[in-house]
Amino acid sequence: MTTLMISKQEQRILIALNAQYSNKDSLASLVTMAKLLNASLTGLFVEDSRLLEVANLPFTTEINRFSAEERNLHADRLIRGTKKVALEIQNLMMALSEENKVSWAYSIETGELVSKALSYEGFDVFFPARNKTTFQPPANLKKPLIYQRVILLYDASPQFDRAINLIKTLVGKHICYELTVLSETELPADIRQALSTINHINFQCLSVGGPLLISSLNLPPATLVVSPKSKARDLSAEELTDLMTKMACSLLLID
Amino acid sequence: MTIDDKSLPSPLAAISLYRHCDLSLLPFSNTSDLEHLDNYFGQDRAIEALKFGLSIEHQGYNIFVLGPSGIGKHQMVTEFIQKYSDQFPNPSDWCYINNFNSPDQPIVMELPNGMACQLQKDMTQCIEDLLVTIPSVFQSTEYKTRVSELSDEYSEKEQQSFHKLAEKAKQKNIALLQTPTGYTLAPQVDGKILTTKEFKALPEKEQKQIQEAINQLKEELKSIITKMPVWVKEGREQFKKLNQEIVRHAVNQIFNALEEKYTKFSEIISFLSAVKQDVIENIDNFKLEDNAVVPDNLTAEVQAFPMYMVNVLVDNSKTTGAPVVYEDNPSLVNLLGRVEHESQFGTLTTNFTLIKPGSLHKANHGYLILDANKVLTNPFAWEALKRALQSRKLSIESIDQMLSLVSTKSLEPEPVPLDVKIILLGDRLIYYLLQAYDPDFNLLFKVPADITEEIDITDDNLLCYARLIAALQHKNGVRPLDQGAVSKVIEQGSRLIEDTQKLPLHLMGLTDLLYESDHFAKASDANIISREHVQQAIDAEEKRLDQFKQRVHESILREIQLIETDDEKIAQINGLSVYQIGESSFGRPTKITAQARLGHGKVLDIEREVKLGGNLHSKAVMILASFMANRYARNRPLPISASLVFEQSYGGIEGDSASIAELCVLISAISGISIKQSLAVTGSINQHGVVQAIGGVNQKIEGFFDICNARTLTGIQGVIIPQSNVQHLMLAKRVVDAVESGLFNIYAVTNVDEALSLLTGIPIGTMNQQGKYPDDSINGRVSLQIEEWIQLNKTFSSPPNHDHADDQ
Repeated sequence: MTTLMISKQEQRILIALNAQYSNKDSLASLVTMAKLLNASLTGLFVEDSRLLEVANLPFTTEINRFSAEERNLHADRLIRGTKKVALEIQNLMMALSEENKVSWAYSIETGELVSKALSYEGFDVFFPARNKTTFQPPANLKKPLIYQRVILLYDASPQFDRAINLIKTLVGKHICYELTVLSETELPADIRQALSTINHINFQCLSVGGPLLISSLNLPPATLVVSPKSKARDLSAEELTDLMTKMACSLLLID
Repeated sequence: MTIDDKSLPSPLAAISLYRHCDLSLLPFSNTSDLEHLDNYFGQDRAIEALKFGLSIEHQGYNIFVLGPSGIGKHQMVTEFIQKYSDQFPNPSDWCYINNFNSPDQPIVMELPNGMACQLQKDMTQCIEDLLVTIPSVFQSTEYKTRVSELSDEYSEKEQQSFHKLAEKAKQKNIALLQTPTGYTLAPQVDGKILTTKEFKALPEKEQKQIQEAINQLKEELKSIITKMPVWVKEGREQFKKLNQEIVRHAVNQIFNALEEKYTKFSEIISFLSAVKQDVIENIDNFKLEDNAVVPDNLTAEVQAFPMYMVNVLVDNSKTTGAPVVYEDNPSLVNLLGRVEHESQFGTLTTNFTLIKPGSLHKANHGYLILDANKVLTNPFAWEALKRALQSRKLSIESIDQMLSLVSTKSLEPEPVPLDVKIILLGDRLIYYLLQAYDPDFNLLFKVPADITEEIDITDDNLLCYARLIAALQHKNGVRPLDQGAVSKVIEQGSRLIEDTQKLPLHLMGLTDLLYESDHFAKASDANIISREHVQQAIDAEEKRLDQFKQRVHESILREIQLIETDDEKIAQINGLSVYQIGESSFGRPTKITAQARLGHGKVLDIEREVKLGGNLHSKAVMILASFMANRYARNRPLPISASLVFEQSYGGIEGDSASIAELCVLISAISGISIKQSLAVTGSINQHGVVQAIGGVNQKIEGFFDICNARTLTGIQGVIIPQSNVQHLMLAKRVVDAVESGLFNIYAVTNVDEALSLLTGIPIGTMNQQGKYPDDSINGRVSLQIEEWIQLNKTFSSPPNHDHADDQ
């Protein structure tokens, strides 16, 4: 069995945020998880450069999310709106982190979310679930179970061992109840052995064609997809963006 | 001429001044030997009326019990009705439940005896069960999975719409981008947004095509966004359905047992059905936050669901027979009930659980006993009581709302069907006033039950009265009374009502005498109350209240008030009067004087002139004037001007008991015959000179006796009373003893002539065939004086001789 203990000093998680991917429940879950893993958090809010380009187009208008009202999209207003969202998320991160006594940092950059996030080395990268839709369940049912289900993408990288340890920690703290391992190949025996030692969890292993197939699984928001970062590097930024757009759940890339 | 003593009325024998109770009619040693008698003794008429009033079932046959206060009517009526009510089945319970269709109009429910409290407990338990069961249903994995599925379904539906649109846009080289507040569409090439410069470099036709494509996509985007509220609504309805579906089974299980238990009671079944429906429709009220636990003690949580509770208005589970209720304070709210309010954040609110019953609720299907005086003096109570009896419905009314004093949320509880018999207790004056002035009264209180205040003294009644005393003695925990004590109590009763032929049925006075006698028996370490103890109690009571009497007597003895008790005086007589001050009353002599002279036949009542004389007194003066005219001036004028006055009287004078004294003193004034001041006189007269009975005879005699006794009894002093008052004599022992010793005399007269003879010692004189009285008789001397005034009057009334006048 291959075991890689997570160094408390080494564990750093980068949270990739923008106006669209800043789900508050997802953030809260991550902070809880960071506390359990004794990890530090770095919030990276990326102002979408494409939006700024769009705002400069002469005919571009914006359709309001709630009223369907159409109005001109001004660059100034867009920037102000984005800054406001960035500030709100920063405040939320501060509150959650201080409440859970988790060290944190926050920065704002302009560019494209996926490529900016992956450009950071030495960090696990967390992509929160996309923001909630307008449909909301009743108030007392809003809070989902923390990662009721975890989807683990297998590859033969050393990061996969860290991923298994992470899962063990989540299961041990009773915030994860189901585990599904997706693999393009047969799982090695030692990996199977390592997975089988995790108690109190429903475990299954599925063979799939590739990470892009995750989008077809229609995973609910209370799901965490865990993958070695190397697996994500096989995808182009556009593919990864497309994958995230189609997924309603959070994604954690283990470095 | 002096009168022959044999022609005068004889003084009464001592034996006729006090009626001793015949001990042979009381065959017991003490009252503990006697079988007790109930309070209905002597009340046959009232009991008959009560039985009639209680048994007749038609509307309006409520009962008014007439009798003075203290006679014991409340105790008698309550005991009688309680015995009477035992024959009826146990009464129903009453409760209010929530009206789910109109919460401000709670529904009233009549339930079999004892069931209301049971239902109340069952509903409390039901709410506790719901509080435990429903959250567990919602916390189940099954439910959460279904919620999650539903949530995902709608979330996906929304996302899919945007994805499809995004795909469609992508195929047209248009990007769908999300802004902080909405969406925008922009041209792109190979996934890169065109800059303004690149866009402008495109051929105009292509620019137009892009713009058209964007416009088309915009419309589709708007269409998706406008559909969202519909999806939200759909989603929420689906959630609601899911919630209802998932709890229906659990709720049904809780209610099934209750529905089975109360299956015979359609009203309860309807109520349970309404509660069940409301629980299912408002299931969110029972949910708990995630990770919250149901507390062990659910009392506080149950209070949050008053709408499912039962407000037991009247619990008759411990009542046997028809209810008998006495309302001591029959105010509007105490009679009709009230809707209470409670303060919540400074605002007064209410609900059906705050409805409180009134005594009419409690007495429904039974009997309500009320004091008429209290009902009438409580604002709005009488009118409200009448309204309830007329409508046979009990609606809760609030004074505040009637007068618009408060403006706050209130309720209109469903009226309770009323079937109650009201028993009003009051004195006769109230009864007759209501009969005269309230037309509704005769329609609603058709049965008068007239309490008898006294009974005849017969051999049987004496023993029964002794048994009544025994019952009161036993009931009130006082020592037994021996034969002598009972006889003294009986004699005192006769003395109080001034009638030797009657016994009083005033139970409160009787009870008080027993208490006080018991006190003296205890003080002397006696186990049995004796005659002496009763006498001590009577004396002590008299002494407690005799200060004013002592002061009046003292002022007479010190000759501040001038009363003579010896010698003879013209136009001056000792009348007798009774002073009543609160509970205390006593007799005293009053000097009455008269003046007579030539005049026009008018007797001047000075008391009347100064408005100190009452109507009855004025009437008496007119009667004596009429008597005078009839006797002495039947066929001739009566040229007299006379005046009468009560000397040293500084208050009002009322009654006709001094009319004989006034006539005698007037005749003395006219005739110049002196009157013995050693005698006092009392009695009223009619136009024929017949002496009639008066009240307070014992006190009047004792009042004059005490003055004479203080000045030393000479044997010539005494009192003249009407013959018809002899049957009322129950004089104090000191008077009886003095009479027995010949030191004091009491004369009973039937007409004024006897009184005049006694007072003057001169015969009255009878008219001869020529129509004249003997000159030396009283009548003769009066006639001569009148004749003299007639002649004098003629002299004054003849035409004046001017010459002669001038000479003079």
